[in-house]
Amino acid sequence: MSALLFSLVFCLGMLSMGLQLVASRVLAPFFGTSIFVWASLITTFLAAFSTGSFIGGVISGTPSATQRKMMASVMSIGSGALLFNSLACYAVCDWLDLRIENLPAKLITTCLLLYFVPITALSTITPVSVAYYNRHGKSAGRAAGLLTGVSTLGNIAGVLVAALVLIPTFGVHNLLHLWWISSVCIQLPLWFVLYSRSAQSQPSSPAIALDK
Amino acid sequence: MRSFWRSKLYRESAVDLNDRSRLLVPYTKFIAASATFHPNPKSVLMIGLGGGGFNQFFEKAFPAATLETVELDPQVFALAQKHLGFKPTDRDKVTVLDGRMFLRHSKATYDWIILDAFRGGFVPPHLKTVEFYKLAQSHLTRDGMFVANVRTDTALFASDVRTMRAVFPQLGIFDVQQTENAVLVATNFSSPTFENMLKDVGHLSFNDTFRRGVDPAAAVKSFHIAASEPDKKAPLLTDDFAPTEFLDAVKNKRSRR
Repeated sequence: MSALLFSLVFCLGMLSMGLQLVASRVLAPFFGTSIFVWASLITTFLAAFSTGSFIGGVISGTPSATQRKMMASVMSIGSGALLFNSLACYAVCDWLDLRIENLPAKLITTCLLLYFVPITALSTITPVSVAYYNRHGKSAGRAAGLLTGVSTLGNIAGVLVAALVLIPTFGVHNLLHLWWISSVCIQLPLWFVLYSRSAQSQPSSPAIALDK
Repeated sequence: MRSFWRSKLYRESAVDLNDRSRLLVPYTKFIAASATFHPNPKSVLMIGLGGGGFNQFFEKAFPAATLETVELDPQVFALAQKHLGFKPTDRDKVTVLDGRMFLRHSKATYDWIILDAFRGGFVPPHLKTVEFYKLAQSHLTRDGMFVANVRTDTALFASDVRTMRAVFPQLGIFDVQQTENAVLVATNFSSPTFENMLKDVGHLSFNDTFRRGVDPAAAVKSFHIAASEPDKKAPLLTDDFAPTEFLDAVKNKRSRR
């Protein structure tokens, strides 16, 4: 089960950072490729990583039944936001570009509207996965270290695969569809890994367990 | 003479500080030679300032015309003023902005639109797509033309030609000898044809500043008309799919270097 959990967390890491490169191609026709574009994108993604970690931390402290429902909602919102991206990103860019005068303001608004929600949703999963791993007998430190490391390796792979393989091969529109479909295909099994009956019936281990 | 160099790899711009209206960089002479196909511009837009060398030539070569320049990098604008003697005027204004953003928000039309916007040796992908060329075309007068400085030494060149050919009624190419550059000239009209315009090149009247920089009769010997059948192996560049960096990494076998 651990191998599957790590694989799914790795894939979600790929989706998160890979989207940043695809996003730069979405924004370019409207806002160019200047340092303002990259600053807005990186700020939005880091803000979403941070917010997602806080929310995931809070969710992981709730009772199991609540957690199941909350994570099902968060995962659905994340995939729904990616679907919205694939259907309406150009319309959002066009609409905001023509209505907001100030370049940094229109850029940050566009990035927040398009990317904050899906990336926040994807980022809630690492702390919840850490809590799951911790419940299954690993120390909090070890669980956090392993899962954060795997997620970050996924981030690196996502950037490289997007830059060197996906963007040179597929159109932006197809890639955005690939993103929401992948997010459903990854989050659905991940939810079952985290909240299936067998997962819940594992002996609970407190966060103060010694590192093994 | 003072030049802008990009990491000692190539010269981006140069100005003779004793004679600022003299064209020094070879490809700029062919941008000027495009005047063969529209010799009396009133209003010109240039995307990419560089050192302002072309601007200083243009001011004297076309004293009745205005040149509006859009430059993305404020440092480039500052360096051109500080070191290369460029001084913007009412006839030669500079806006610091992305070229495509400028066009999206502008209602102006131009007789020539010149694209010479390289960043670190690459033209940004959003300035190379069908959608961008259509936007530029919508800002051209009926007898206007779009002129672009491009590199010829990579697979991107074939895509540049195919993509521009897909949008504009006519496309011609100035080969810039002894360099890896070409100047693409796309017209917003199908008549008169390039062939007919080339017959009149000897009768065109230009002032002394222009003729000191460019000999149109000699320049057109390097001009040829792009094939009307597109090279279907070269990807058509669109906002959806523009792998420009990757095409630019594939060297052409016919590269002259």
